[in-house]
Amino acid sequence: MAKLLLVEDDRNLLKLYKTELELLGAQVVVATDGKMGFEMAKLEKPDMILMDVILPEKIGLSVLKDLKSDAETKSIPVIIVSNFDQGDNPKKAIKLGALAFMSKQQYTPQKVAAEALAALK
Amino acid sequence: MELPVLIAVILFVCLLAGAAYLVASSMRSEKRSKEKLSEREGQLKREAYESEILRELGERFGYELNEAKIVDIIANSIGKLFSYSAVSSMLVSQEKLIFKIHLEESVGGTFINQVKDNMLASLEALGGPTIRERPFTQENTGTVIDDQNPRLVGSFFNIPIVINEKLAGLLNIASTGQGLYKEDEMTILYKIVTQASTAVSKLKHVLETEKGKLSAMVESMSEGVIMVDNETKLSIINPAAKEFLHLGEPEPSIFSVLDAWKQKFDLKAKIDEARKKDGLVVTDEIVMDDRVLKAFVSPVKDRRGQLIGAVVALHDISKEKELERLREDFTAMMVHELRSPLTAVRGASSALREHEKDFPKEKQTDYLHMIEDSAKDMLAIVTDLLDVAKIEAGKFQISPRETNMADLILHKAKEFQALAVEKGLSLETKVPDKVVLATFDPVRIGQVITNLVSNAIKFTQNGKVEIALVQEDKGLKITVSDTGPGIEEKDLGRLFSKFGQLESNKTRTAEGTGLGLVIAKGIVEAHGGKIWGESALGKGSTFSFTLPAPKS
Repeated sequence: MAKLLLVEDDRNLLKLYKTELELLGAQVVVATDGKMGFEMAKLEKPDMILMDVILPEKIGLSVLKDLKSDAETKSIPVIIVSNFDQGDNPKKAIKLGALAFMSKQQYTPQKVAAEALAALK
Repeated sequence: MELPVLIAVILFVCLLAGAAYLVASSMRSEKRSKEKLSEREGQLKREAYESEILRELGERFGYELNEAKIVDIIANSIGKLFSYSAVSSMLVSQEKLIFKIHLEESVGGTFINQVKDNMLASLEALGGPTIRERPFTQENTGTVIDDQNPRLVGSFFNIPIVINEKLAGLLNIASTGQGLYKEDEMTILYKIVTQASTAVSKLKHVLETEKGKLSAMVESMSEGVIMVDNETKLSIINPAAKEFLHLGEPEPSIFSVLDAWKQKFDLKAKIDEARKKDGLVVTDEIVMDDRVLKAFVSPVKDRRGQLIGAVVALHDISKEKELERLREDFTAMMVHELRSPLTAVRGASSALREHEKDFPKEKQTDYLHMIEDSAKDMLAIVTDLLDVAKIEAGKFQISPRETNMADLILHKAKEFQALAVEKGLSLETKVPDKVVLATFDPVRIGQVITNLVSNAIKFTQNGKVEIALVQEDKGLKITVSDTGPGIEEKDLGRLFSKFGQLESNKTRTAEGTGLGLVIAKGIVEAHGGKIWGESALGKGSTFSFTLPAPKS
């Protein structure tokens, strides 16, 4: 069973993504701010991380940078799931080592869950 | 002879002698009066003539500002006043001496040299010895020089030309005749020259004053102003332009002005374009190291439509750009705030549809609640945005009516009691135990109290939140204080500004648009009151607002 870390501060969206991932058979651990996201990643060693950009404490892209420069976490694939798809954000995320950038408007929670788990296989 | 007869005779003789004396003296005085009269007549005639000449000259001077031309006019008119062999002028212009001699009588070179030497000696006496060192030009007009004529200067006089209290030159009248010029001649010429000088001085003064006003205006303008002439030489650069371009020198050259743009902008090309186009050229934004400029380049023409140069007005649009950036960021933030609940609505509804059969009843209810709550959130944000827009446009409406403030506060405290208890905080009220009537919009003021109390509860982890009502002379004061972490001084003011959240460099906590206090300020100010915050890190925060009592 794949273990995924979900870093999302909006409790509604957290619930939606978590439900979909669990329905597809994944184990889901959650963090609700950037700092916590990084700590959880080190602690839980998930198979994949799904992370928002606008997060309290530390924004998603900084957490991504930290994850990619930490030996313990740099091999964990990270998918950025955000509403902030305008400007350089998608490009920046890929440059920082994200596997993909998914726009929350274009990807329903079902699609996010399906694609994330497909990428793991 | 009898004594009385003797007395009578003596008396008679005396009378006779007296009468004779009177007649003689009256005859003397009559002669004096006649002399006086003719003298007076002559004087009047001369004065009339002088004033005629002065008037005529005045007309000819017109608005002439050029000293050389005025001296020429004088030199050409004084032939009517007295006779001379030559009239000469020597003008001290910028670093130069211009000597002009007009001959009425054919004289020799020696005569001319004598006049010249006389004038130089006079100038030297008036303006110092350095005057002789200046380059010298000479112009002869009038009759031809006759070197056979041995006659020298017999009489002469010099009149200084003073303009604006500065020696501008000399006028010289010289004749081969001896002892020709007396005080009268000198006086009339002196009068003419003085009149001309005064006229020119006045005209120049007016021009200088006008020029002074203009240049003071250009100097004090916050816009940068640069003017160049037809050869693209710098004629004006004001302090603002120097500051924009970081030009330290007091009188920079056009080269340093052109270089100052550092390839970011070709000023010369724009000036040429404006000249060619014969109209205004507006540049794109020029991004300098520390500011953003926009340049307006126009050709400058004189009254006759002749091109005399170009003027460049530099407008510092840094603030506008910053505001534009803030507006864009604000829009992006609001879009994000609206997208979050929208994404939840969409996600929840699509999940309900997809998993219609898999979802247990309570999960379905949970998702329906999520949709409802998200919709409410969105509605609240849209309402906030509309309120802010109304406040900004000055179209915010309130409906004041007489209301019991004590009651409203107690009512609001009751509303928040559950939330406070849930967070382990105590929510207290300090309200006079009586009816406190005031005229205000209870819904809008209720919104302000809601905002302040919900903020206090949101940011306070332990301790208490207190709502207090104080009756003051000037009206009511409502304070909401908490035992939360406190706010830094520099962030306090920002809380009431629309862009406050954007300006503080802190990571935004995802909750809220940050518009609550902006709206609260708008509501309180619409009531004529004030709202402010007091806080220090680690000492909790107190937010207060006042509602002024109606003027009796």
